[in-house]
Amino acid sequence: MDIGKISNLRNSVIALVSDAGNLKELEELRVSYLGRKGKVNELMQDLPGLSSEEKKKYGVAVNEVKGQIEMVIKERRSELENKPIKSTFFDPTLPGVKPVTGELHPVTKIFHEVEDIFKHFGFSVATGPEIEWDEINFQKLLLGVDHPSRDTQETYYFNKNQLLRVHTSSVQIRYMENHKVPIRIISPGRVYRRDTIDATHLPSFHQIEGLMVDEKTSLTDLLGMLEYTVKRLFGKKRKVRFYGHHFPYTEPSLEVEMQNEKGKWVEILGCGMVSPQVLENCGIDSKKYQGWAFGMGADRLAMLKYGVSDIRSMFSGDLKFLKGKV
Amino acid sequence: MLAPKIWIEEFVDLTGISNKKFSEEMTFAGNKVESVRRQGKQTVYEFEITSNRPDTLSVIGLAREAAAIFGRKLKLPKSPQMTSGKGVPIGLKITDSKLCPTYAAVEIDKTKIKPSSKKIQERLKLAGIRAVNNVVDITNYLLWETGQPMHAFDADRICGKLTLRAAKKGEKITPLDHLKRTLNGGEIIIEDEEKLVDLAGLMGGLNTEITDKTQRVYLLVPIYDPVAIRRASKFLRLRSDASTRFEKKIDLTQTEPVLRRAVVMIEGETGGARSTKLVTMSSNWQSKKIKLTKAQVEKRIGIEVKQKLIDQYLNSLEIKLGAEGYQVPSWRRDLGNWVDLIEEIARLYGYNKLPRTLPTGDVPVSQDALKPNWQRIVRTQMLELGYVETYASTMIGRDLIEKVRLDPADHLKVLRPMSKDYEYMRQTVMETMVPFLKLNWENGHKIDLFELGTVFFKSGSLKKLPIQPLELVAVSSSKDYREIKGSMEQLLSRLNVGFELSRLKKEVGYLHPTRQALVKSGREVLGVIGQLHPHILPKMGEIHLFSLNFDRLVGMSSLGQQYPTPARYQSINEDLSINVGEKVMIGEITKLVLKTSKLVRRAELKGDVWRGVATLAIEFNHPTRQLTQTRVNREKRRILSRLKKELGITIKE
Repeated sequence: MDIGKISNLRNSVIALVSDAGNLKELEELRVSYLGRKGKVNELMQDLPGLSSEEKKKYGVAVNEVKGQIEMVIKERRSELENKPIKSTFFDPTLPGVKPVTGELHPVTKIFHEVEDIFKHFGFSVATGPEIEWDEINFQKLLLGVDHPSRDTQETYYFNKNQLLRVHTSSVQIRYMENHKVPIRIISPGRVYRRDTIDATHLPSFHQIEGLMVDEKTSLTDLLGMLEYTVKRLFGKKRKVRFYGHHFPYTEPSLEVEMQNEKGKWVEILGCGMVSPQVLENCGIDSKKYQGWAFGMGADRLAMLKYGVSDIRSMFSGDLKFLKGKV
Repeated sequence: MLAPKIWIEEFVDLTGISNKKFSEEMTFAGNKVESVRRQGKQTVYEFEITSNRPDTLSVIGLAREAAAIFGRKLKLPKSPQMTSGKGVPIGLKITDSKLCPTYAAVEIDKTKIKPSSKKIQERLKLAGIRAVNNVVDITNYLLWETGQPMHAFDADRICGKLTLRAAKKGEKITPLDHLKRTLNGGEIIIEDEEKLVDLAGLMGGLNTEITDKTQRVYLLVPIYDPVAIRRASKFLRLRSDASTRFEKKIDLTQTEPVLRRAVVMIEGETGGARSTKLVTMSSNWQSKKIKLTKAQVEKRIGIEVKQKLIDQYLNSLEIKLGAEGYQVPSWRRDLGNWVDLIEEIARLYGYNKLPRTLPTGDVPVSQDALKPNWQRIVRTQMLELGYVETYASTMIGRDLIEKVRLDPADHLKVLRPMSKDYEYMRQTVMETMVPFLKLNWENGHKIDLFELGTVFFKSGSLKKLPIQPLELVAVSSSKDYREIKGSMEQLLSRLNVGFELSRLKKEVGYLHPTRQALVKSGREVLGVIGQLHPHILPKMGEIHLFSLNFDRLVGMSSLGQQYPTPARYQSINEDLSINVGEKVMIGEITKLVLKTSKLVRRAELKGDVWRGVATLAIEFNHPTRQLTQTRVNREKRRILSRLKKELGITIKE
């Protein structure tokens, strides 16, 4: 330990500090000299080994140097903080580098939205198989073997009794046969029709079925729930209108239309009050209970909601479309 | 059904009702107007008629609807009175009244066949019906107006008596379209003593058609069994305006009244005269009576409805209240019970005028509602991992099956596919994912796709439905094996499902023969992971994937532990570099390390295996006391010794 060493230390620090180009470098210097493991502290640690006379002499010197270093650092910091930051060319309009994101399919999104709307009213989600028994898909829904409605519902069969379901209404039957009233379910799923395959028709599409059965739910509840759903999906201003139609398993039967963006009325679903015979077919007392049901075209709703003009783009696996606007 | 406005207006006054209002109100009440056409100065409405309302497959039926909907009076043509007349028409034997429950027939003589009058031709043209000659045109005119089909035969070409019966298989007939048909058996036919003369309800026989030489007409106005007509129509692929009506439940009381009108019209148009009595066989139709209370109406619709209004609506449809209930008119065979009547009330009230309420009442608590929505959870996790969701067709062609080196023979096949491209049911999402990979690669995209969809397997028994589980598949062209495995690890970790990988015992067609593994959890096989077989999309470079049986996966999933438990005491981290060569799997090594020492909190491969050397990062930690370096060193030695002993692994010097 000698005074010379201490003052050399101080001089070299002062030089380094004035050379410090930025606050980060300055801080690094501060830590390396004044920090816990810093050089000044190292010197302090040598003191105990000295005689009490030397201790006093060097202690004073070290403390003095410490104070000088602190002051120089403080001044330099102030200088650096007050220095105007150099102006360089910065272009904020450069295109962003987008992160890799996934995307859910538009039909999934519609399924989720409708599930959420109905969850509010205590509806749970039910499912059923896509290859179904003829009895459940047709007969228990009052579509007998020779029923004229069977003409309009051309069906894919595997054998006499097993077919690809033509609607999600088969889930109504399954659920009612296995649960007690009150019943509130929705069932999204894939259905199949043996149509000519062309630009707007594929062998399968997606529906969302809904069913509510209890002691007093009426036609006005059905109308209200459907209007509410359309408004939740498309906004408060979106109008719906109802007109009479025919399904063998509902009485009254209705279809529902909604206006698309261009103001054209498009059909979005069929619905009605469940026929008492259907309830009886499922072991539900039709004198005590009544209910309503609907089947929404989920693909069409997705197209209307997300602005899809060609149905094929949703099912061709094309990332150009599926990854969304990004 | 094309209905010219001028024709409807013959029966109901539509003054003051614009086309728009007419279309809307008829549609709202259940008679959908598809289009409003103009032909010259005339307006023609195109209606969509539902299968339960064959009564509206007629101008009069639509006029009835308009009268009820707009509150107008109906003026219907009267059936003309007739003297009984002398003589009998050609005998017609009905072998089974089920096939033909009612009919009326007559002969008209000295007919001159020529084009029909201007009014009839114009009306038919507006309705889209081709004019033929006066007799045929009248039968079509009355069919269109009343909904009652009929057929006119050239009586001189009929040999002897007529018999109506079910056809036997193999019998042949050439109808008016000149195409010879071989019958299936069961079709309703009329024959004379030599030949078949009528494919009843579908199309008349060519051999007895009305030509310009016809001088004697046998006119038959029947009703046929709807089931037999429908089956015949389907088998022979033959539909006509007559068959579309006969295959539904139409009015059983109009055969004679319409026959009378036909006689008068034919006499007028052809100059001929009725030469026989009218022969009729009437059905036993009786008006159905339905009881309905105000309370039932209000409960089903959901509003108060005055009794007066109920009666008014039903009356406007000629459903009148009698002693035993509401009486259903003969043309409404679709009305069978009280709910059918309520539909009539509701649609005339106006669905768009009803209030819209929201459900109240007890909310069901079902077991299903207590389960987490696994589909949503899994889809969302895949989305978060950066995959884009696809939906493919579940029906595929043979080519897609063979492309992934699977066997079409064990796939489910539909009986009457629409095309070869949609013949089989997919057994794995990979069958439809491969074309998606190709398409996106051709478009130059970086590909990370997933699909959670149904796949189909034969159940092996006609008494059971095919097995239809959900499968989750993820594919990537940009990720290497470790990265796709990382996605799967992340997903399974989120679901709290532990898993091990092992060799596939049986080859999977679409996987690389060696770069693949079976994913198991406990005893359950969850699926597979690996590289796509290089021969499938050879131009594309390496594609990695995993495929999991979703139903099995969620069967063992739970949502509990989602955050790490912090260690109470500080861990000591050690790196261990070992020689592994290409014999031992890292998974086995880390498994052994964890098994050997309870103090190891984590043991993972650091970086990659480089030239046969792997570095393991091992975290030592004890839950209730602070470990020392000495203790850890001892543990390290134990681990190394075990690795050497059981797996032959040495430490790198």
